[in-house]
Amino acid sequence: MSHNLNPFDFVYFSETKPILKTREEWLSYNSLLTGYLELKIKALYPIHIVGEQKAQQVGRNDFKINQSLFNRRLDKPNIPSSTIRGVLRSFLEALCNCWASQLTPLYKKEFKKHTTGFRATGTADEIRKSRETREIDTNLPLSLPERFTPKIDDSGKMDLCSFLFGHVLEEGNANRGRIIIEDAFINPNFLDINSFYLPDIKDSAFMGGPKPSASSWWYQKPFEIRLRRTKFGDSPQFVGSGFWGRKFYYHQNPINCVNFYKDPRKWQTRSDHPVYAFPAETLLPENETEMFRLQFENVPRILLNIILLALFPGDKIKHKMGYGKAYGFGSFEFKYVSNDLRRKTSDEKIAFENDVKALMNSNWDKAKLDKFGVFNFIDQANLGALYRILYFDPSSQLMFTYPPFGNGGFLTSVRKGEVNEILQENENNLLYRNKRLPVTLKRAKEIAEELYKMKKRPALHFEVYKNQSIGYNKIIERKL
Amino acid sequence: MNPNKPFINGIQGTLCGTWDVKLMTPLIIRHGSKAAWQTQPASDKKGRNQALRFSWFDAQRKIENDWSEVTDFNYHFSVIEDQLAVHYDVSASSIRGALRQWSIKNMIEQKDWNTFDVPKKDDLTQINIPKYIEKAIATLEDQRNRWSDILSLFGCAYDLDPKISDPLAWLGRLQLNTSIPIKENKTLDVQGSWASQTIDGPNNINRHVTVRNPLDRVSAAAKEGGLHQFMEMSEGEKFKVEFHILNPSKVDLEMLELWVNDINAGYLRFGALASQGRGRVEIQNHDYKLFISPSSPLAHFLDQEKTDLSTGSLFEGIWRGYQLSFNELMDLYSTLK
Repeated sequence: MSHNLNPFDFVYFSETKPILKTREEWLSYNSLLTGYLELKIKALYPIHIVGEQKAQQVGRNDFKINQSLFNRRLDKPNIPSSTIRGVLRSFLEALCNCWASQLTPLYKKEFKKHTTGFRATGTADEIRKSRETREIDTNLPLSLPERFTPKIDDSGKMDLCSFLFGHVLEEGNANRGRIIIEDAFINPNFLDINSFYLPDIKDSAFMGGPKPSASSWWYQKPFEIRLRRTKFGDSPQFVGSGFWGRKFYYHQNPINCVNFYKDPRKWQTRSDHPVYAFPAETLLPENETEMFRLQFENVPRILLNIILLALFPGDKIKHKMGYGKAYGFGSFEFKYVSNDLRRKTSDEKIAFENDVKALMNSNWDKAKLDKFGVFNFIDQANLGALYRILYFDPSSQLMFTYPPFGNGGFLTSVRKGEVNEILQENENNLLYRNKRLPVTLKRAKEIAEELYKMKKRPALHFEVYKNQSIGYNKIIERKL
Repeated sequence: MNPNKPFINGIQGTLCGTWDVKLMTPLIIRHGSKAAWQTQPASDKKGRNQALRFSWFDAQRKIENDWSEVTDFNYHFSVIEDQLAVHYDVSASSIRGALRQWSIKNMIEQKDWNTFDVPKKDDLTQINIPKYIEKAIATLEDQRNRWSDILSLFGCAYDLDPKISDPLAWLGRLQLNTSIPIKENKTLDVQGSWASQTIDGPNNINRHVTVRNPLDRVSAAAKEGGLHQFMEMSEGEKFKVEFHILNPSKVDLEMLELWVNDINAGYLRFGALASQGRGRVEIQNHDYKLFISPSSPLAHFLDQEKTDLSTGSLFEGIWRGYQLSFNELMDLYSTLK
């Protein structure tokens, strides 16, 4: 059985806690700067930010997207500031081992969507309330490690990204950020709707949708195996708990990727949910947006250096944004145009510009970056993971595609008997007596590997599927 | 002890300023109320921004019937020719508030920024009021601290305890108004296709609805319950700011210079969501009129040959009035420095 790599991977959560400081402590790094950078965004692969998306009903319950137009305001195509901001913040939260902001706190049990409800984050009060509604399995621990849950206690300490970008946690608990980002407008002549197509599944979604589930070991680490009563008898359920990490998408050639999905010999789908492709209006590769501002207000110089590293992460790491990241869309880089510093002399501005360029060309070389003092804030393991995932090589032929629905994919059911064969006697006894069997990470991987060999639910366990993918050896060769 | 006695020598002059302000990026001034819209029939599972419908006057009922909320722009009611009218506007308080905050940030040390924040009423019973007042007085008495200048201009009622007979209170010398020319039939821009309908509600500004859908940082999927939309005043629109400062001083001119320069450089922004680039404006035209009494400290710095604006006005013979450009005003400030 051979298959491509999955389109995304995770930057695993570190065992180390985020660096937390009060606002005054963050400010005490001194050399506060106020000013702005003027930047552009250059598309490396087509970028699509959804605006109007025309769809039509083609049957009783069948819907198809006809075309997807680029986001516009006053008829001017643009990349919203919130999109740019989100890219930078996500990258920095991973790079600097920060809190995970903007999380969906809970996923309720829902027929045909979430067999098992679970909490990503939550206070004791919220957990008690959800117990009352029986929509959440409260036997499951919180999916997000608590050390990465944003919260401001009486100490007033916050992580680096909250200090820079701000946060709104709840009524009255907000911190104003110090980074301002404007929309990036695009010359309409750089857009085209006839060159690139996005895949979709008629009246369905790839992998049932992007939202995490507790009913496999795909998004979440293995927790236990349960026996669930169904009309066909007891059925094994593989329950996950604890997100693997923060999700990032690999870069790949979008034309090759979409053609792969369109070929039913290469990617299986259900006959009532065929794959089709619709035209998407994109910012064409090698084209740039107009200039936009990234403004900073009273930011310590050392932390501004980290922002610069996020903007210019070297020759190999490139960012992604927008719709269709899983299909190769959205790869881009920032281009530096100019800067302004408020209330600084021209000599100081020239010195700053030189530092900006030095940081842009550093390529994570520790010797070059030491003088900027940034390594204390960077999680080296996370940087390594970001390097592997966000590594951009236009000559690469690696393909990243979702596991299909059927055989070789993620929805094939596993019979009770097949699980019995793999489990040891004491494990089987425990499972039948208690209807649930807790598993260690190591044992879960062994079980998943056995199932994989049997071609049963190969996409059950994220790491097992990844390790067996075509080209994974090339991924692990990517090292800073 | 009330340290502020701005009119102890009477009112000796007023500086009147008018700014024609143009939006360089959208502006959000919230009202606290909602309009309603529906982006497509509920039965459609795919597609975005199709068959859009908008409702202002009937918003509440529509929202109760599963339409989506749109956070509305600030508006006010007025009576014009015996008819009730509603118009969007840029509230003077939001402009004034931004100017005040910017002055505090640039003239006061960060540790003292919140010294004159009046605690919420519910908190007053729980805090040590004498200690708060003691700190406020100490701050004012610190010569390096410039709170007096800011409070003198903007005013403040730091009267935490009604039993105190002589509370810390400043009248304030700055009065500010905003206006948008009342022109109807401006557009509500939205990407996508409108269902055929009339757009109701105030329409005296070009505006648009922005949709935001934050992504969960771990799953990179849309955050549940995160989808929201809000009304913005579109870039390119204009409004007017008119203000006057009683007994203008050298420090007031220092603040004026700070405001004008930082507004035009894009550092001083107005309204909400500045973090997303909103609220950057440009002062396209600004002119100033200075009316002063002969006994004002500013009197002998001004060119007596200039046309006296007070001729034919209420001030004739009492005060002189001068039309000054911003540069002339700054020259005057440099002279006073």
